[in-house]
Amino acid sequence: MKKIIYFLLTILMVSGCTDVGEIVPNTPTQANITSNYSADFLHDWFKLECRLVKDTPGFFPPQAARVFAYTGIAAYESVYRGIPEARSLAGQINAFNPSTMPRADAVSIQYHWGIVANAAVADIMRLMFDKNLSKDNLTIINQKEEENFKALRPDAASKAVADLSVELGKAIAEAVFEYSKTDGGHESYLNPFSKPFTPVKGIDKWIPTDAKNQTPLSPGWKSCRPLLTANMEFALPPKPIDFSVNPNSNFYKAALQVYDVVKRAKPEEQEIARFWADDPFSTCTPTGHTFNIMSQLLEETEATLEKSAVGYAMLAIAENDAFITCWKVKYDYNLIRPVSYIQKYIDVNFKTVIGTPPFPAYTSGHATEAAVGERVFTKLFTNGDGKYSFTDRSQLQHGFGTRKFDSFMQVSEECGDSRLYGGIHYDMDNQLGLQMGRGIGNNVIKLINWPKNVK
Amino acid sequence: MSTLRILKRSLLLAVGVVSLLGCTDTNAVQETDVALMADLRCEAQQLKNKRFEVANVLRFRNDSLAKLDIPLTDLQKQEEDSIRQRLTLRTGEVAVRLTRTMDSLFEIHYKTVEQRQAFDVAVERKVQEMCVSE
Repeated sequence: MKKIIYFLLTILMVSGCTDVGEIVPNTPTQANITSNYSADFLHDWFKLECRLVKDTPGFFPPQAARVFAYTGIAAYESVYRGIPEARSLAGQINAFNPSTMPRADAVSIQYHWGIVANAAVADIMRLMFDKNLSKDNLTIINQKEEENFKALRPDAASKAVADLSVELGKAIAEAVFEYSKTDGGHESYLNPFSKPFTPVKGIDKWIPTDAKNQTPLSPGWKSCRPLLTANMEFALPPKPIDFSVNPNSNFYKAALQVYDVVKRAKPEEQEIARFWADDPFSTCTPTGHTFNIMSQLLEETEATLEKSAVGYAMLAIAENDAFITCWKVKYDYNLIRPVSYIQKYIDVNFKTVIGTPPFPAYTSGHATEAAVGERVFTKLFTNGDGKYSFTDRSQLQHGFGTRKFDSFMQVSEECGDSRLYGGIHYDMDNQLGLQMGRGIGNNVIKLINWPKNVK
Repeated sequence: MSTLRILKRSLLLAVGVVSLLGCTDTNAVQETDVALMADLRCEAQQLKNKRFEVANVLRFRNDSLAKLDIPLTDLQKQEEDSIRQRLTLRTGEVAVRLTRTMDSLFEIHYKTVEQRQAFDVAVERKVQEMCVSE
């Protein structure tokens, strides 16, 4: 009898010590797989994030890419346990330690993945916009979280399971936020221009292009931690064309090309420049635009929570690193903007079609980020050839019309070209930006062990 | 009435019904939906034009000052921020209304890609007809 008691006690102790995080979390019971869940609520969250980026002071393109990134990571971490063969991003992306993530026993507890994601996304948004979040927008987040919870709750196995799901979501958001704090961009929205900062001097160097921004945007962003270290290899593109003021030089010709394109004033090109400008103010930056396209594509293809979470996370990681690598190149070279060069050496009265953003030219942030979108969309929505007919409606809300495309490459190339049409980038900025973005996008797809055949 | 005539009439009726059904356009758009969306798009478009107009005024002034190496005063910065904030707020309100309307119309009446494209075309036509820049 004693032996039996000892045996039972030992069994109990062993099972009590079992690390629940080690209970193979990615072999969910068939009945509780993420692909059985609707993603409507998640699409709505990402649309709301666009609004928050617009409304919240300090969220310029790098800061916006970062906030979308951690939201995407939190969403994926919330639901991967319900995806067969899926792995956490912890242990796969830079310095994201698995031991910092909450444990969950997805075998014994039938977590409601929708409720987990709803709680995680709501919390990560509150945390990431934190000090600059308006009361109105905080209320909107709180209300949306509650409404979603009410809608999802009846599908949870019990009240206790619903509560545990919320608890897990909140713990994931907290862990992801803690991870984000060490990346070098924490609370950068409070001082996006990193003032005080002394711009680098030189004939070929960036100079302020307007009287408001005497220092460039986020010069220290290049030191932020990329989510994939390997992406920094794309921060070493060829040097820009050698600077020269000689009218026969390639640099002069590159500037003259910008001048000629602006001067010919083709209405279609000017509309394209404005469409992709994601400015002046009131839009949710290039990353927000690409996330809006992602939401539209996911909705149109009736993607489940599984594919939506994977898609947002892929794009999130790629966008974050696109801005870090691009900003590194920008501040490694500090290249003068076309408007400054043209006004000095070609035509003093030159005016661009859209405003020149307050940071160096080479390479283009728009081109880089659009190209990561191209690679992610190609992976998610095509057989690899990138051919896909769709109508971009994401800018209707900002007063533009729709634009139709037949491939994702056409999208990114038009976005890149739009910066030339707008008079704010040399063509080399756009072409090299596209190359960088494609490399980063491919890396994110290949180097992370993503779930296969997502629905 | 002979059986033949009855048969003939029935056949004609059947053909009529079938051709009517065949003519029903599954991508048809409802005028009220088009008008509603066009109104919102027009409002958003006028606001966009206003934004670009204001942005141009501000940046051309700032360009000129930058050439003379004169930074904006704090007061000028505040004025600029306040103009931007007002426009941002209005743009945000319209954007929310437009997105909600579009999403609900798509969810209820225009579920397929083809239906949505037909709706886009009809709305665009209406916007071109009715929307005059402020």
